[in-house]
Amino acid sequence: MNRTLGVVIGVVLVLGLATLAMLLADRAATGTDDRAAEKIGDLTGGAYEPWAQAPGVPGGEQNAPLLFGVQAGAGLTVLLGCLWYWREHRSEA
Amino acid sequence: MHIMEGFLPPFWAALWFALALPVIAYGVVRIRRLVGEDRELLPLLAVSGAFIFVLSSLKLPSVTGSSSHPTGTGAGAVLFGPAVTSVLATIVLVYQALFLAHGGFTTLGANVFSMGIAGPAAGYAIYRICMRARVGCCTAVFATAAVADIATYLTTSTQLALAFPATTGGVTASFLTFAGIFALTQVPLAIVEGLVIALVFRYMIAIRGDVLERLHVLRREVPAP
Repeated sequence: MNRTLGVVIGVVLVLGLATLAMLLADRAATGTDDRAAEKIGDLTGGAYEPWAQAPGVPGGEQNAPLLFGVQAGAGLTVLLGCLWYWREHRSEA
Repeated sequence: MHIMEGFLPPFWAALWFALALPVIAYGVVRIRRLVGEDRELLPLLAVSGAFIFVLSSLKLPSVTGSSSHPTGTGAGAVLFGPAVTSVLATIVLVYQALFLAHGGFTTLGANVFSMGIAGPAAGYAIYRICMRARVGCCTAVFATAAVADIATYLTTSTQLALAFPATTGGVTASFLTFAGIFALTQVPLAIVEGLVIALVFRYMIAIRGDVLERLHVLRREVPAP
């Protein structure tokens, strides 16, 4: 595979996974974390109040899917980059 | 498996911090030593962290109607063990607490303990057992990743059960309740996670098996006398 084709495939993969992460974060069914929080309410008869609040999503909750996408895209970029580096340098081993 | 901000009483939040911090500190020392000895391990370290970053960003729907996400810690557990993986998981959990309101800073110790220490430790134990039993590397990696994932969620269930025991049945009943929420949802996701990590390992073995041999991830074949 030549370098240009590899880069194009890599970019498509990164953008594809980032989009998938955004869609999943946006449309996901109720998460197990939320169900566990509800269960804590049941177990304590609704008496337990969280004693700290999360700092919140920068720019508002609507940005959460985008930030999940950034996380997925950044992670896949590093993953593909490292595998590419290794592949390129295997002849030196 | 993220316990939300403020959802653990202060005593339990502090206890899990106290248990997680020494492991994270040891992990930092291990990373410095490993990278100091062999710079070629840096890409592997990055790959291990990237796995956690990518897989924990995907909220996947599961058979129970709930959604959850894989942990991605299996790769780090196989390559570097639980201490190093705890450092990588901490970075991801801080990102998610800071930017996604997912998890939290008061519960960071508990979340690092479950996702970065207990899960990878269980996975690492399975990996060693598989290696002793001379199971194939990819099968061992699959088992490691799947067990690390499930063990993470069982640990979270334990943490919540200890903090919120049921009025009837106490900690055990509460554990079964939380495990019912987490573990059942997680089984299919753990299998998918195991398959993905095993496939990438297969590729890594093909391109740089020598580095994996140096880390004792692969057995060095000794020529017959």
